[in-house]
Amino acid sequence: MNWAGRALGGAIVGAVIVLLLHPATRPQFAPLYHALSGRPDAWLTSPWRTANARIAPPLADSTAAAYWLLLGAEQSQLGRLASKEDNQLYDLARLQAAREPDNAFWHQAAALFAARLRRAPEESVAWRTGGIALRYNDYQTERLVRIAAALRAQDSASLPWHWGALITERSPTLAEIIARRGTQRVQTSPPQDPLDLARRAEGLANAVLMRDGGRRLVISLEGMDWIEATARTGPAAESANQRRLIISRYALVDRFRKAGEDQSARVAANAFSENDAWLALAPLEGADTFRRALTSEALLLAVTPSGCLLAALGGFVLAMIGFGLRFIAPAVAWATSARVAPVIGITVALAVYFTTQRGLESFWLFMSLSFFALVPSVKRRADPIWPGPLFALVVGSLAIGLGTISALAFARTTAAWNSLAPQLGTNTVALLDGLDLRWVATVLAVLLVCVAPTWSLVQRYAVPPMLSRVLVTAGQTVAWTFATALVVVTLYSTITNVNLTTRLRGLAENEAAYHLAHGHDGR
Amino acid sequence: MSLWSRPSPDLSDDDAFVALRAAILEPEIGDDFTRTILRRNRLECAKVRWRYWMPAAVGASIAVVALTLMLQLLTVAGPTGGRDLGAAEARRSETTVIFPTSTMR
Repeated sequence: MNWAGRALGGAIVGAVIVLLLHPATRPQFAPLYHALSGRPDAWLTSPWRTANARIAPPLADSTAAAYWLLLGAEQSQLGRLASKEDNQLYDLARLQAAREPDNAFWHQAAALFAARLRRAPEESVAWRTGGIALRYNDYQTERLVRIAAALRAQDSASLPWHWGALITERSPTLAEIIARRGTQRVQTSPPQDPLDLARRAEGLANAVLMRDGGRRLVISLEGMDWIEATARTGPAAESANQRRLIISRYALVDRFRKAGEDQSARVAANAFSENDAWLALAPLEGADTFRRALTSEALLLAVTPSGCLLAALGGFVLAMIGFGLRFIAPAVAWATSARVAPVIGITVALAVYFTTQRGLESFWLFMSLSFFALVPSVKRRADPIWPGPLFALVVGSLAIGLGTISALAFARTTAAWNSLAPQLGTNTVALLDGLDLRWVATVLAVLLVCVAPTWSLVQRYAVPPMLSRVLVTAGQTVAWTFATALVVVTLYSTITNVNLTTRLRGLAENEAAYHLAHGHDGR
Repeated sequence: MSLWSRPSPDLSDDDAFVALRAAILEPEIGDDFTRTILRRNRLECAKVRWRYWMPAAVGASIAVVALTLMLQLLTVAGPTGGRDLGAAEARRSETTVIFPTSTMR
């Protein structure tokens, strides 16, 4: 290595040391530190995630009460909620509604559980009181903030992937069930019924509150659909025809006017026009694409520094093993001799087959390890110092492939990957998620090892020093490549993290407000 | 006349050889001779090693200083304290909309 190469190597080592130790960049290696510590991940253990909830947290505040109602709704979706539990949840919602009468969420939840208990008078009262409330707060933001605090405490910083994962953690289940019940209530109400207008007015008022206070577009969309449903009567209820929907809107406003309820008519007209504005300002498809783009970036930045560090360390260990082989050259020569190599090949292949039941990989291992038996008849005495550029290219490519696979394998075990990859659903992520890494890693590793007997045969070197040279070259290539990638990615991540975290936090706390403030593409 | 055949002005040939033998310096090897040689050898090796690794050390030092400075400049204090989550929520104005549902029954 010339002096420039040594200077560059020193710079990379120095940069890696700074990035591993500096408080601004250290949290980016949290997945690896966390995996090494062996502690359970906060993402998988936080009781405030519905996926982790085995026992609901104590009813200490409104956030916990709202979480109980949400868990109840999710259980009811699965048909696992008994009537006794419905009763308890109804009492809980009523109690919270009494404590916080201006929050429509409690009244709507009470109406829902009253409907499940078939208590029509109580349901009617709850819809009415919900309609005259002033706001809709389902306390999911507070719940998400608690999960974020646990993740921050674990990783020593607020990272973009935390908020990316929390966007979809805000559950629309309870809003969906409430809106479904509210829609059903107005759709089954005959227009000639004297209470029909009152039911539609209550539904409209509750739906407007849900739309405006939903804080996630799918929840606000439930409110929007509910608003449109309050206008439909008769055949229009079964039709999605745009013209009929508009006619239904005007018809409802007219009915309010004819009943002498001018203020109600104004409220209804405003609700319908605001619906159009919502759809125009926060287009759902664009919002979804924007969220996915941000989340993909957050996922990449969350797993790449740790993956690169792991691959670089792996390369260092591989190079050390290569150096170590020089000290046990006689043993390596014996193991790679024409008589012993096939025996080792078949032993390893059988062991792999009986432990994994994977025939193709086992056969591949047998063939490859037996390849060592083809030793050259005449060998040079000198050790291979520089077997040529093709050797460097082949070994380097295989080594970088192995390093990438090991980084990807580690990434797939992290909480960031497991929380963000499923919601991305892009072809690339799905491909990486479904890739059989063990098979690819076996093929690459065996090909790398087989470079030694191949070059020994061609250039007539002994196998042990060539094997040592292969491992040293592969280890050094992986170590330097991934250390360089680590420096670049970690610096980029440090620069962009603040901006990315702010955006994803904005989306997680109030997706609708974020899009209303930042326009169509969220920029 | 050659140099060898030139007669010495003061000494005969035999005397000259005797004088020459007497003038031979017998090296006096001290007790710390080996230690000194080894130390010099070690020193020389260390110098060679240092010269070899000097660019790496310089590169590492420059990277450490530059990155530390850059990270210090990049690291800006984030927002402190918690946010009032209720402050940004949509809230219906009390004065404009009170839906008169009770009057419609």
